[in-house]
Amino acid sequence: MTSPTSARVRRLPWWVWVIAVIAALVGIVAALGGFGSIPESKLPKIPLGEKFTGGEVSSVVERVWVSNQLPTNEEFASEGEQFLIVQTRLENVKNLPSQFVGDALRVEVPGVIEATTDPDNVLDQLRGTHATFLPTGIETTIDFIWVIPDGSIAEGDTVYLGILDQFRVYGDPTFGDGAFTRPQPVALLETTIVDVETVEPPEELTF
Amino acid sequence: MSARRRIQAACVCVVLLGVAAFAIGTAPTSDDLTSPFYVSGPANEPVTSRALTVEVQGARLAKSLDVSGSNSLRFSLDVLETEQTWIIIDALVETRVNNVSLSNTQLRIGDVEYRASDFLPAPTLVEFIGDPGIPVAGSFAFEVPTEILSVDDAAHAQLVMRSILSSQLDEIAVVDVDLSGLEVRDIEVVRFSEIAEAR
Repeated sequence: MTSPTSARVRRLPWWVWVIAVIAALVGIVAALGGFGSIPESKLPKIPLGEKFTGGEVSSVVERVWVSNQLPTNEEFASEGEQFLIVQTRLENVKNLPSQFVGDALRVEVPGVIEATTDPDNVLDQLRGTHATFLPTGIETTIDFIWVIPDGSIAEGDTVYLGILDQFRVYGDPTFGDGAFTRPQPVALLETTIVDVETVEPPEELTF
Repeated sequence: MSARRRIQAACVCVVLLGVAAFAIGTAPTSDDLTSPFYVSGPANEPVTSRALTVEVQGARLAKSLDVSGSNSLRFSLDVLETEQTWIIIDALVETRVNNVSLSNTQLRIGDVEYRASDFLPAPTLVEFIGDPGIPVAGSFAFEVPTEILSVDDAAHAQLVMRSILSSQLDEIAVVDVDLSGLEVRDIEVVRFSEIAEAR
């Protein structure tokens, strides 16, 4: 004679058994970590001087150094400060003027500059003026400048650089096909400071 | 439901799906619906849009710009070099409404657009175009790759008087400019904005 409970179990519809078996399988697989390993998104690492072509801009990081003078003009850092200068060659590879200049690069120097810190200035080296956009198809020397405490970065210190890019968004509710994603890193570069220069400021003019 | 009715219903569904797909496929995009209205005209003639009237008076090519005529105290250079080529467009601009900006004026050559340089010392037409009804003469300067001037499209360049990058549903004056056959000089003088005589 069978018990009422086992009779109820046998009376369950077939699809309940199917769902129970599938749920059990999914649970076991999930508990064991899934079918595949989690893909690691590794950004390409490029050496100093090598061109990286992104969707909006191609970039070459040419030189990274510390100085108390801007490379574009005779402006000197204030007392107790220096500049970390990253000299790049940027080219807008699209067919429209690009305002993606100031966001094209970020640096990280542990304990001094965080990766999310905006540069204090972005200069067109040939003209010494603030770079507001990249002309179409013209490689331009752009200097990214961070003001740092005097002596906070020394020769031999490692600087980590991230090359950023932005991507067009189609069908944005506000901007239609003219919107872009937030800048995001697409390549990494690691270099060592070999050049810390101190230029003697000219004596101040007195009247 | 009979088999015949089922077939009829299925056919109606297929037809409706086809109509919906056609409607979606042929509907204008958001950009189509909000694109600007371009008002075109030739050089040496006034071209009028909602915001301004522009008359292109000439185009020059140079390897460097003489900007010594600027009254800007913040700019120390007298000559602006380029590794490529400067295109200088001389124009007469008269605004028709307040607060018109030409900082996004572009030169279109083929399917490529170049923006007027904003780092020249003031006052070029990018910074100063005067109050409504007062014509101002001056220059725009565009830095372009030298090789673009040797293609056929250079003969059909267009000055696009865009005030902001997204000029949806606004009128934009576009002037045809022939850049073919122009001599590339070593240096050209930038004409800084000044109030001109009324036409």
